Formats: sequence, C-alpha cells, structure tokens
Amino acid sequence: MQNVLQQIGIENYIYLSTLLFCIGIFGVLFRRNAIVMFMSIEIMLNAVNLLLVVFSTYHQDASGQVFVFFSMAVAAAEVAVGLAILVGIYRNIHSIDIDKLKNLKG
Amino acid sequence: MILLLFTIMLMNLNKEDERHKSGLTIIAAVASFCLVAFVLLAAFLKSMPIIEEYYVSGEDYQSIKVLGQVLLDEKNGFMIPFEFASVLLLVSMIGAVLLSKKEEKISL
Amino acid sequence: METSLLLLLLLAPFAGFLFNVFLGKKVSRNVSGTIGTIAVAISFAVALNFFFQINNTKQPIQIDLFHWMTLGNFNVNFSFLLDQLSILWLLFVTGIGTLIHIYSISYMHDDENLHKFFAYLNLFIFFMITLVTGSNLLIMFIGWEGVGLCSYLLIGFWYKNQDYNDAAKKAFIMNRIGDLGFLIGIFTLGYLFSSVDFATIKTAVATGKSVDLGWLGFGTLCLFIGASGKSAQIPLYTWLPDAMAGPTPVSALIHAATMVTAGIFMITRLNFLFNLTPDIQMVIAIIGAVTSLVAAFIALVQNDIKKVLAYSTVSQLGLMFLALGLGAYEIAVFHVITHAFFKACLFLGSGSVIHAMHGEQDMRKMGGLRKYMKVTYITFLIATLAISGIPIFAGFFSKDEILMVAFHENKALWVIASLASIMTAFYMFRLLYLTFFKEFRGTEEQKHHLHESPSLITFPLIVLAILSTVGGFISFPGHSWLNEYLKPIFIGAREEHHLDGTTYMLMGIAVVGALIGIGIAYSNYIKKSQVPSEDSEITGFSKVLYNKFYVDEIYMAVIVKPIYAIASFSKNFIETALSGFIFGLGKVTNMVGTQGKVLQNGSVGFYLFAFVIGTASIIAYLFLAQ
Repeated sequence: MQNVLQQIGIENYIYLSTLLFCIGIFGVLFRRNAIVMFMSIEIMLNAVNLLLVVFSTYHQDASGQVFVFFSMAVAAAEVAVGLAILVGIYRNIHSIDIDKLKNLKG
Repeated sequence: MILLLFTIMLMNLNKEDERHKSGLTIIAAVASFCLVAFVLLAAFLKSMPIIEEYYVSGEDYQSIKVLGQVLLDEKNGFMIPFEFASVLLLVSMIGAVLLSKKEEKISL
Repeated sequence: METSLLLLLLLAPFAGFLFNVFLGKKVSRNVSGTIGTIAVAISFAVALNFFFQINNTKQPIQIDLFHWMTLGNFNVNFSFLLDQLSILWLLFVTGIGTLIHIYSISYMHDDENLHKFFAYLNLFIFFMITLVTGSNLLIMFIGWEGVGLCSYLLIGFWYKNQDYNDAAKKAFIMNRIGDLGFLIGIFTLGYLFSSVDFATIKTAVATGKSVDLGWLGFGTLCLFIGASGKSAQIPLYTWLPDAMAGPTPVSALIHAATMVTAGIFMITRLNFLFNLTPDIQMVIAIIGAVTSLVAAFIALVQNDIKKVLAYSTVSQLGLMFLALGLGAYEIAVFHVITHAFFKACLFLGSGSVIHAMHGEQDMRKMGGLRKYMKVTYITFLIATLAISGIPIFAGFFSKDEILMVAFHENKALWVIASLASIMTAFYMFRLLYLTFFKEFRGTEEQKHHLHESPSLITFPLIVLAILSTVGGFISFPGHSWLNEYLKPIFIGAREEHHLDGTTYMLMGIAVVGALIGIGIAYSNYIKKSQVPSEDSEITGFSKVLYNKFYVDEIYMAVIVKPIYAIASFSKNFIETALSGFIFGLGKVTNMVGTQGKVLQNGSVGFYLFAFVIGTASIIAYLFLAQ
C-alpha cells in the first residue's frame, strides 16, 4: 500500500491548508453578516482538520485522526452555542449586522 | 458541504443587503490575509522535514478497527477526552436551547 | 507600699484633671474647684510623708515602674527617684499649688469655664511632679514638655482675646526653642555616658570616668539653653512678661513659683556635670547676672502691676542662675524656695487688688488702697520687704548668700548683682507706694466697689506672708539646715561659709543698698507725690526702658519676619512649582488616555483584526525569530 503523500507530496497539502485558513480569516474580517462569519470560521476549522489528518499520515500515527474527531465535536458544540447567542442578539437589535454592536464604544 | 450549500440558499443573501464597507475594511482584510499567509508559509517552510522518505510500514494504523481501539483504549487511548467531549456536547445543547428560548411576557 | 504612695502622688492630680474634664461641667462650680484642690492636697500630704521618711533615713527612694526601652547598651527605665532635692521641690510645688487652688476657687468663680481652669491646673501639677520625680532625663523631659503645654493652655485661657492667644503661642514657641537645646543636651549626655539616668551618671562621674570634655561642654551648654528657655533668661525671656495675659493664679503658680524653677532644678540635679565644665558655669553666671540687671532696668518704669512682678521674677531668676554659675547650688535652691513664697504672695496680692478694681491693672489708676484692703496691704508689705532683702524676712538670707558667693568668686558679678538688688528694692516699693498709698486716682465708680477680698483669697495670702517671714530660717550662714539636708545630692565636700568680718560687712552693704532704694522710692512717690506719666509723654531713656529695650521689636525684625518671608516664598514659588509638576503628571496621563481611547471604538471587526495581528506576531516571534 502506497503512502498517498508519496504521490502528492506534503507541501501541496500545506499550501492548501494555509490557503483555506487565510480565506477563512479574510471572510471573518470582511463580511458583516454574522452567519457568513460563522461559516468562515468553519472554513478555518476545516483547514486545521485537514492539516491534522495530513500529519497523521505523515507519521503513520492514528492520534491525529482521533484529534480530528474531537475537533469536529467541539466545532459542532461551538456552532450550536454561537447560533443561540446570535438568536439572542437578533431579538435585541433586530439585525444580524455585527457593526450594529457598538454600545461598548469608549 | 451540501449542508453548507443549503444554509447559504436558505439565508437568502442579496446584493442589496450587503452594506457598503469602507475602504479601510478591505485593506485591513487583505492585509491580514497576506500577513497570515506569509507568516504561516514561512513557519512551515523553515521547519525541516523530520522524515526524509515517506515510509510505508504496511501496518494498518487507520482502519476503523484500529481507530476504535486507539480512541477507546483506557490506558494509552483517548477515553477520557471522549467522555469530556460528550459532556461538552450535552452542555452546549442545553445552553443553545436555553439561550434561544422565547421570553415569556409577564402579564400585568 | 512606696510604689502605691508614689502612684497616689502622681495620679491624684491627674485624676482631678480627668474629673474636671469629663464631669466638671455637670457639677457646680464649688464642687469642681474643691475636687481640684483636694487632688493637689493629697499630693501634698504624700509629699510630706515622704519628706519625713527621707529626713529620717537619709536614703533616696527609687521606684521602678517598668522597663521602657533598650538600644544597644543604652537602657531607659520608667522609674522615679525621690531624694532630698525632689522632695523639697515637691513640697513647695504641691504646697503652694494647694494654696493657689484655694485662691482660684474664689478668684475665678465668675468664670464660665471654671472646670477647665481647674483641669488645666491639675494637669500642670501632674506634669510638674513628673518633672521633679523622674529618675532620668527622659522622664524629666516628659514633665518639661507637659508643663510647657499647660502653660500655653493656661496663658491663653481667656481665648476669646486674640492678644492672649498670641502671648500663649509666644510662650510655647520660646519654650520649644529651649526644648530643642534640652533635647540636644540629652542626646549628647546619652552618647557620652550611655545612659541618661541620674544615678548612673552620678556614679560615673564620682568614679572618675573620663569623658570628652569638649562634648560635655557642648552638652551642658545645650542643657543650659533648655533651662534658659524654661526659666526666662536672656535671650529667651520675652515670653514671661507677655504671659501675664493669663489669669493671676496662673501667673502666681506657673510663672513665679514652679515652672520657671524647672531650669534651676535640672541644673541642680546635674550639678556634678556642670562642675566639670567651669567655662559653661561662667557663661551661666554672666547670663544670669546680665539678665538680672536688664530686667531690673525694665521694671523701673513699667506701669502694669503684673508686668512689674514679671520682670522682677526674671530678675530674681537671673540671680539664681548667677548662684548656679558660681557653683553655689544650695544657695540657688534656697533662693528658689524663698522666692516662691514671696513672689506667690505678691502675685496673689496683686490679684486681690485687680479683683477689687474689677480688672484694672494700671498702677497709675490705683492709690490709697490700704484704707480699703487691710489684709492685702499687710501681706503685700511683708512680701515686698522680703523681696527687697530687709533682715529677718526670707529674701534677706537667700539674696545675701548669693551676694556673698559672688563677692568671693567674681567681684564684677557682685557689683552687677548688688545693683540689681538695689533696683529691686526701688521698684518694688515704687509699686507698693503707687498702689496702696496716697489718694485713690481711679474713677468714682471704681471707688465705690473697693472692698477687701473674700476669705478664700486672703487665707492663702496670710499663709504665704507667714512663710515669707519665717522661711529664711532654714538656712543661716554658718550653720544651715538646708545645706546639711542637701548634702547627699552632691559629690564630695562642699565649702562652707563662716560667719566672719567679711560676711557681716557684706550683709551691711546689702541692707544699706536696699534702704537706699527704698529711700529713693519714698522720696519720689510719697514726698514728691510723683505719678508716672501717661504713655504718650514718656521720653528719652525712660522710653527705651518702657519699651523693654525694643527687644521684642528686634526679634520680630530679625527672626520672625525672615521666617514669614521664607514661608511666603515657599508658598508662592515652591508650592506652585511642585503642585504644577504633580498635576502635570496627571495631565500627561490624561492625554495619553485620551489618545488611547480611540482603540476602544466598539466595533467587533476592529477587535478581530487586532486578534489576527496579534496571533500573527506571536507566531512570527516563536517560529521565525529564533
């Protein structure tokens, strides 16, 4: 059984993961719709998971993939709570534009 | 990914809804994009590969059976984080439900 | 047993003070005054008891209360020493104190703050007892400061008058200047002897321990500065005449009999040290003599009864310091005792006169009072005879001994002292004639109210007059009970004066001088019926004397005004600069904060951007900068 990394080379995976992460950052900073921001964060998390799996194959160790399990579980929990908070915010200001949350301006 | 697609479709994003952002925001976002990309790539490329040749040990390390053993092994497995993760999910579910409950109007 | 008696001695006046402070307003005036008097009378009784005890056993009693502090090999205990000297002082302090308390019950009975008056008097007696019975210089200093405080409180008793407050402040501040000298002296002695305990120092000197005489001289000089502050010698004497602003019992007690003698007490206590530094003794003698003369000059033309008596006190204290400076400590103590008797009698008598004149103190408005106030007149006459040095009365013996010692040691000082004594006789009889003889010069209104004072006032006068008469008998030149009694407080033998030709000649000269002074006064004020002129008509040398040689004005210009100038300079320049600097720091912080406020604009996007920048920089630092 061949190591898939022999075919593709680990640098490509790293470039891909970095690209995804940076796209996620761009989305978080640029978009003002809160739900789109959440999705960008999911993109970042996915980039990290990808990198974890890549290194798990690189070291022929299963711990990386187990870590991805937990990462996904935590991501799910975080999205659940984050969306619940967003619902609360929406009830107060009737919009999901985060630029409206300027009450703490000092 | 299908779920993501469904979410985007359900959100009903319009071009008019998107408010005009100041140029400063665009510059900031692009700058941080480039900065983070640069830093991460530099960090990755600076580190030397530990393993010279990709090796294949032939040993099965990632089939579901092995994965299950790694995950649920008590001594050198991830049993305890597993349990904690389940508690975390429970708590987040309770939290999500609690935070988005409809507030009851107090009748005078 | 002795400890409890000592505590009774100390704390009875203090208890009187506490009673009058807390409960004085609630009880009637008579009760308040009586409690105060009984407190001091208890102390007098205990002092008498100790006197008989020590007279029999001739052993001093040292009572240790507790250990106070130890610094290296410098050890100070809170303990009290009752020996012949302190018992003697206690007797006349508490005795005359009791009499003055009795006097004050009647004198101050119109005053609304009577309980405060007795509280302060009791506090004063308490501190004076502490001063006198302390066994080391630090406890004496506690008493020293305390009597200064009580003097301030009592001089400014009628606080509604700003002049009296200024006089009280002046007294306190001048005392403080002296206290600084006293403290430096204590420190020097502590450094030289590793102890400030009297008994320890005495044994150290007696066993011939060698100390640096230069430092010892400096220390004794500083102690003398402290004594001159308390006992009103040049240059710190100007507070005493101004202190006459206080009620007359205060002047009698504090500024005639007790507080001003504290300096002499201290020097007598440390006589062995002063004997080792003859230069300082000469300084003391000269200052004493000069003070005596200067004060006598000023007293010649004063018109306020109490001011004459005040300057007379300064003059007599000068004579006592002259005796101390010549090494004749027992004679100084003798003169202290006799002076206490007749000066207290004079002050109380003048108080009686002022009481009858309803507050008038100017002698030019008095006259002929002997018709109306017989008892006051007779006691006043006896006291005046005593102070002038007429034989048999107390002042003759003590003053004569001082003159004898001066003659033997230093003729120039003898001349100065004799001159001062002649002037004393003159101005005291001038006071007597102007007040009690001829016709009354006041208003008709005042003449109607003239009457003899009540018995509570005349009783102390009579007692003090009797003491002024017989008080001299405790020490005759030749064989003196007082000298025998005080022997243990000195080291080594003391030289005795013998009754011989020189002695009688000197006595004769002194009496003749006094009679000359009386004669001049008689001729001026009785024969020629002179009355001192009004203030605006005084000219020439009399004007200089009347304005006290302008010493107060000199002090004002040379010392007080520069201090005010420094103070206002500090206030206007230094304080504004400093506060500007401090506020400037605040302003800088404010500015920085205002600029930094921009970072908190509340927009979440901006905060996220900051996150990213921070994370990137951390990664850059950790991975790339190594």
